[in-house]
Amino acid sequence: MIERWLPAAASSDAPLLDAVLMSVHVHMLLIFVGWLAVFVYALARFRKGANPEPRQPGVRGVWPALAIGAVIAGDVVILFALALPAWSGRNAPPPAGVNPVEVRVTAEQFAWNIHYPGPDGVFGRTDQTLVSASNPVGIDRSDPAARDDIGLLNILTLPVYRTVFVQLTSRDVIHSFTLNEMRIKQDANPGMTTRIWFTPTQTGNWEIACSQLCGLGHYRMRGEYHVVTPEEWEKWQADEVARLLP
Amino acid sequence: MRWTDHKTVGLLYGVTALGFLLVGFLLMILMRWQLAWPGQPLPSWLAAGLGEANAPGGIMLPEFYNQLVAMHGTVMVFLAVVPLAAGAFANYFIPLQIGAPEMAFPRLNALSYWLYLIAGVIMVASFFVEGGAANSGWTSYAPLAVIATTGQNYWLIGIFLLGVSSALNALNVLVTIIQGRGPGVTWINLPFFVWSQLVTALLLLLAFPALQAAAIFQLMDRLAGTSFFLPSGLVIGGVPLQGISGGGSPLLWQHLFWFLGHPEVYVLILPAMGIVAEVITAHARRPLWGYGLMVAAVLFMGGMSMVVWAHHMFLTGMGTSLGTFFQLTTFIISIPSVILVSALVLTLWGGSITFGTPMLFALAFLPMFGIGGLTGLPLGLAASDVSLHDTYYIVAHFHYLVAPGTLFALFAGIYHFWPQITGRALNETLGKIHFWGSFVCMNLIFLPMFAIGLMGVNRRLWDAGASYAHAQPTLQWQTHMTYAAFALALFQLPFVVNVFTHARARRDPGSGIRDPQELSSGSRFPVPGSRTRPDTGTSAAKLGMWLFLASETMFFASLFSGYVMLRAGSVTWQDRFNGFPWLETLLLVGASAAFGPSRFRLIAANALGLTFIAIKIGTDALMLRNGVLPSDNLMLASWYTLTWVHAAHVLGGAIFTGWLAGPSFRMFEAERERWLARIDATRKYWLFVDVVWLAIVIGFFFI
Repeated sequence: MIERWLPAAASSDAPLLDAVLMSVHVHMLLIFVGWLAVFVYALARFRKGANPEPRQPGVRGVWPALAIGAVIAGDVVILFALALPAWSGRNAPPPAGVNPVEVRVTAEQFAWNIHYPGPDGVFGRTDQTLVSASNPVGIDRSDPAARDDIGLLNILTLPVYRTVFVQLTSRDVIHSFTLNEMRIKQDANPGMTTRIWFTPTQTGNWEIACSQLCGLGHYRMRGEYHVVTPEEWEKWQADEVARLLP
Repeated sequence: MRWTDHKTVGLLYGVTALGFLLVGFLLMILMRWQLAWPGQPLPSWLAAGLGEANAPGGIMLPEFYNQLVAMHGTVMVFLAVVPLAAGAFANYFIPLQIGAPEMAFPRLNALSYWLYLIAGVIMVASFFVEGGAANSGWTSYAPLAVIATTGQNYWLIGIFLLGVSSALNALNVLVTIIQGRGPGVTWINLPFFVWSQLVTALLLLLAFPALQAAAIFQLMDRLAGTSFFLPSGLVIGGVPLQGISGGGSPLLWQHLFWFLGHPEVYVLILPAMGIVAEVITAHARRPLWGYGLMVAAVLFMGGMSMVVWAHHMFLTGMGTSLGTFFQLTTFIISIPSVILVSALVLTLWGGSITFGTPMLFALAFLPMFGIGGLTGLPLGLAASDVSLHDTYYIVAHFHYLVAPGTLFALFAGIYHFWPQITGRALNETLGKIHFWGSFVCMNLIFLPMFAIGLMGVNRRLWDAGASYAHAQPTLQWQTHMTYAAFALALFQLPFVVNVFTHARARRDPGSGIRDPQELSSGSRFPVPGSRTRPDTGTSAAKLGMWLFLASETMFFASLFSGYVMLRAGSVTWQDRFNGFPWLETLLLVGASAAFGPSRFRLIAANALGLTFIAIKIGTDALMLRNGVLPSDNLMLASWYTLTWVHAAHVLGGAIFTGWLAGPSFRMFEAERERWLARIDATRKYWLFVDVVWLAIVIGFFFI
């Protein structure tokens, strides 16, 4: 019922996180419907017309305790069997040697600056004073490691089935880096670098959103991300690097 | 009419809060208009009202929309719902229900109301200052709020004053309930309404100081250039932020804010539960089911609400173990809510239910609160919070709790208690139109938001998501929701008409409604102010001072926790400066030692306290002139902030001591017992001020 509204589940974590979401909603629905049935029955059965004088002892017996016990049992199952394992599994570092893709994402009012290390896999030096329209990340090309670095604004291109590590930070206020289809939402705090990771499992073109109110342009702090096949990704990277060379 | 009378204060609170409720409602209508037709010109009369600065060519600016976002939340929570629930209903009905003639401290009570009014006027008036009102959300997250326009200062000052106001109100409620109970009113037959107000007051008293401390830090950041919430290396709009030390923590604000913010949720809900319990028992003609269980549930809820705050912060980068703790506490706190809602339904069992307007509102509260509460579960689990955090889902969640939830309970209370206030009942037909219209419209507005949120559309977007492809299918719904909001506005008119046509107090002969005076005058007995009450073993003065100091302790503990968190997280903490303040320490300790029940000792304490202030001002002026500024580093920022707040407390103590030695001294002969109780309470205050000072200097010079 809920899955028809949810965005595509396009990362390796998405199915488990969605399972938590669905089961909590089933739990909620059962509680609500059960409670509502008692409520509506009580209103009909004990309306003044049907019951002109109140009866003294009201509800007796164990069933209220059993109902509340069932709710608690459901809570416990969801919490310990699903939600907590899902969250710690998602936060546990992925196994070493998965050949990850590294990206640095630096948020600012109202854009996402995206920095790839390039084919050498090493992030070159960046310098705030070098930031310009053609160099949004401020890559210092005099650093040998920075020669093949790619700096782009609002466009993130990722290969499918490879784990992506994102080093997330902000230059000014708190933003929230949101890739709905990856089930990624992480605050980008200034003065603090947060490392997150995920593995796309579907190719597609989607949107990067900012979820944390970050000022007057919050509504338009939109980026795009493209999950492509590994071959396409290699080609994309090669093209970007080729553009850097005069 | 006496301004300090609990009924007067209660009515003033009620009328003012309803006024602010209307303000918050109008802000909402403006927001809904914008969300339905983003980027399109407003109708000309409306655009003219907003002015060219906010809506050039009739198109509302995002800057103005953000002011609406921040102020709708602030006005509704702090100026409308809480004052109505915990101000109006508490002040008017607690003394009546427990058989007390008056609140324990009537003058402080009146002061609480006036501070609230002043704070509210300051906040709302800030729409007209340069740059408009606060625009960083009701949560005022730093650094956004620190670099925001001037309106944020008004917001912070308003919040601080509201904190003082609610502390005075809460203190009064607690002392009145504990000390003012009439003959035969014991803890086990205290009405559930009173219990709910008791827990509410405890939360306000102990949690609000954290936000006041945070407000002081943020004001310092904005006005004195400190960096409590500003990390190093901020670049705003391509320009590095100059003249600040940096090194602060944006997360510190969130911790302090939510330490109040979450208990505040229970402040919004518990009085509503109390009112609904009153209305349901009256209209089902049955006592509460499981009274003891319900009382236990609210007490447990109150306690637990202090340890769930960081479930608002799962996505800030919180570690797994801390996340696990807050997910656990969040699930635990959901259980008492389930118990309360179940107990209220079971109360209906065996009853003889009539469906007057108050009962309809009270009954509707239950499923609405149920939806709001249950949808808190997926938000309380980090794994599902990822998909829902900061989307429309959470907007739907908390509005179900507060709008068709608490507000319905408050309407139930207004319709139910109206006869006790004016002597005659509100019109039923108008009431039923008001109820059914509101019930349908509220659900039409908020139910679609769950789906919009599940689709991943974020909240607080000026264009309701029109920039995003994934939000396109929801834009049409936004328009429908706006029509429902307009209809909701129309359905409030019967209420307004009803209230204005039934406002004049009159007793309908033969209506069966008891004279409101009769309710309280029958059980009048003097409040034991300074006298010890045998069953509680304390006096109102003593208890009041202890509770005040508990609140003050939370306030200074919050300031200290900020200092400790920054110092622990800082790699470049600058060492303390030289020169332990021996003289100040001696003067302060001397002032409390001198303090005692004679005119000479009072004057001595007053003089020593004022000398302390003079020396503090002198030293600080010298330091500031020599360029030792609060903006230099976090150590100086903390030192100046903590000691200035402390010095303000010394000044307060000195002034009060002067008053005891001066105008109040005539009581020495006339009312010795009351005067001695004042001396006794003030002595505790002086000791507290000493302890705080020693904690500060030990923290800065020896640790």
